[in-house]
Amino acid sequence: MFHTVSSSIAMKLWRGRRRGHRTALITCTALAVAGGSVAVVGVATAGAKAAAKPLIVWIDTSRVPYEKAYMAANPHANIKWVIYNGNENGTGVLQSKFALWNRTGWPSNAPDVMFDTQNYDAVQLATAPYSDLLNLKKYVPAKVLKGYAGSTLAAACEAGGQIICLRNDNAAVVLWVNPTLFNQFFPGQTPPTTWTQLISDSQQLQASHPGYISGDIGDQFDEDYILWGNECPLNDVTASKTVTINPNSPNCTTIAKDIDAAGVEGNSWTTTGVFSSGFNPQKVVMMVGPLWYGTSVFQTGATGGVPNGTMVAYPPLTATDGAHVTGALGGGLWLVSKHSPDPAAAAAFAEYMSTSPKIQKPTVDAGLPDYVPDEAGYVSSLSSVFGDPSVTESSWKTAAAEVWNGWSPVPWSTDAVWGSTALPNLTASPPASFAAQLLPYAESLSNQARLAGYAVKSPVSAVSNP
Amino acid sequence: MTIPLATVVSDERVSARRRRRAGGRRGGQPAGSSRTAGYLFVSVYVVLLLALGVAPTVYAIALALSAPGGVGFAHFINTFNFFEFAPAFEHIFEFEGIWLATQTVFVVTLALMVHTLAHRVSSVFRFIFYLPGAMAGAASVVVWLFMFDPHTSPWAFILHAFHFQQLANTVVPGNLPIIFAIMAFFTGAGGWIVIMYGALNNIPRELIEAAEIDGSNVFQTALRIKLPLIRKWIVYMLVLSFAAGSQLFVEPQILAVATVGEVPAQWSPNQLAYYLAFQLDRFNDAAAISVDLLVIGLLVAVLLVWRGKLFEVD
Repeated sequence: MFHTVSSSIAMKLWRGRRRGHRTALITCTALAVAGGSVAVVGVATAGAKAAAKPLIVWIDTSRVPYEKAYMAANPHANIKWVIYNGNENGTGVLQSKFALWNRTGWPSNAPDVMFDTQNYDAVQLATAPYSDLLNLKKYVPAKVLKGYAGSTLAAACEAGGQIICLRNDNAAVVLWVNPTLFNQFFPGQTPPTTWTQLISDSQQLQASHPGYISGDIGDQFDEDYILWGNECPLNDVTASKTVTINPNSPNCTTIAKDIDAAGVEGNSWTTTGVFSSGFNPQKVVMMVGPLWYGTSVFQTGATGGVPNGTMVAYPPLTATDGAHVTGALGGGLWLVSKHSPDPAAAAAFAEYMSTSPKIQKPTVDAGLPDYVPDEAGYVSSLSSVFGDPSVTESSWKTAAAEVWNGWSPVPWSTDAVWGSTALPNLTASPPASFAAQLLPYAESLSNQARLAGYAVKSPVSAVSNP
Repeated sequence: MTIPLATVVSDERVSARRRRRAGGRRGGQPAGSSRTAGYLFVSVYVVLLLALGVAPTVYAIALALSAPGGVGFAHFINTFNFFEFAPAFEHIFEFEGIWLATQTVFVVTLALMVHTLAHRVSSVFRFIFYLPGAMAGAASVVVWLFMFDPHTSPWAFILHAFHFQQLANTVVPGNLPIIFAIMAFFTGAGGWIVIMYGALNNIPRELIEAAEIDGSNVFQTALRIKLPLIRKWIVYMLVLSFAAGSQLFVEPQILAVATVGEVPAQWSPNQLAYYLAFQLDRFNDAAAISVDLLVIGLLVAVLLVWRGKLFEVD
């Protein structure tokens, strides 16, 4: 079954569920972290081998199928699997443990390999004051490193010339369309291919069929689609510990003004978050969102979702500056500790998990493998899940290679900052101007950057000198 | 709320013992063997206090004061200049203002009202008041998450009256001090009503009867006789509540995770310290903020104890 395409980010997953599960999960993960629940599966082999120190691997609950697949393929592997919360957004489990271990010394039960659901963690944990991740350049063949989609490896896993993580899955952003509704409301038309077209179609939709949805403005990560996908430079690490933030760039202001002029906010672009209990997937004609939205937001993975086989993915929308780029939301990372007693084995394990077709296959990996050689086999098995499989498959592959690398991994959460600065205004009734959110958002990002010890470059004086 | 309750009991015992002592032996000191036993009992607590209370505090002060050139206030100046520093303290003072004012007014009023009822009736009320307090900390935040979400709240019509259509509207930054005050009020008020009721029961029956014979009506008795006699308990409640409130952490932290950042993860000073220590590995700066909180808590406590004459014997 292919229920939980999402999952590369556990956080997104639990938001997808009903609120009751969500809150229950908060407590559960809290308990799991506190108790450090341990699942030992390593099959003890005979004699001296059994005494060898096992490789300690930390995974989140969504990666338990990986453990099963790995142990099925390698029944004699000496591995101690530990479940933790995947460093879920805002919890900083790895940051706090590493900080303490760097003070008190690394214990023998510290993890060798970790699965991390947060894209921005690797760079932070690999650079000062942490500097705790292994440079995989020496351990993983260059040919394998070149196999990851587009610039995705560079975007999350490169720091100071080092490769400090391997990507698990790709969570590029595409245009999701419900063809039944689209053909009914836009007879004879093809789905939009640019942001400008999407906005004008949305204007048409809200005039002819109010209540139907063609976009989303009510979530903390909408900037990952709208701003990232238009090459808006608000999070561009241009040199070590230096971030460029320019809310006045036409790449930011054009799309923002278009949104305001069309008046789509609160109309065809819903202000109800897609994981909020008030969201109705049945009303979605089209929506920009990551690969894993298909099942977990629109189809049977969501409460009141449309049947499997309904939604079709179309290629990412062309940005307002004409570039073929897209944003991303999620996609996990494999991290290897620099303090591992056996770095070669740990690196080999991470490479295996991220590239082996025995792991990177449907029913095990919930997202599109980021390692391109595994993609074809993965995508071809989705034909029963989505409508128009050939379009969906090629759109996924296109999107995976088009993720813009100017939205850098940083130690602060751009989603959380959008959530605390822009979201309250955009979800108000009536919603505030989108363009008016850019400067306060940029200022808040720049404050977070300075707090994390980054220098901020900006042509806007309010951003560069608070 | 268990700690204050225990204190009520021990306080009564102490005064009873004092009375006994005053009437009995002249010196008022226990005999040799019981004194050794006393030291023994206290020593266990002292060891734990030193290990788990004093040592971490000293460590935090040392961390906060360590500067590149030895000892200095660099980390205090550092943190003071953080953009989140002033807002975090503003948030917490706004929250404390709302919470302590409403808690004091409601707790005292309700305790005085309940105290005029027949014992059996009042015990039912005290139980009902106390109920929400049974669900404290993280559990209460989770329940409040439901309450504040217009899609799940049983009181959705009230939220809709404020034009809140979804959780994101309810928890906008301007509402947070009130939201945390509401949470804190329902968690703590019931327990304090029970304590105040206990304090009211300590007032000698003769005193109230005398007032009634002199023609004092219910309101006059409550305001002129009972209220002044429980003043110390009110001050005591303020000292403890202020200290607890200034260290607000669990509520905003869980809301921050649950709303993925709409409630900022650096809303309260304690959260800011946590963020600095465990997200950015800046322990010294975090320690500086903790010391700030300690100083503020001590200053307010000293002020209240001094102005409220908490330790004076009547």
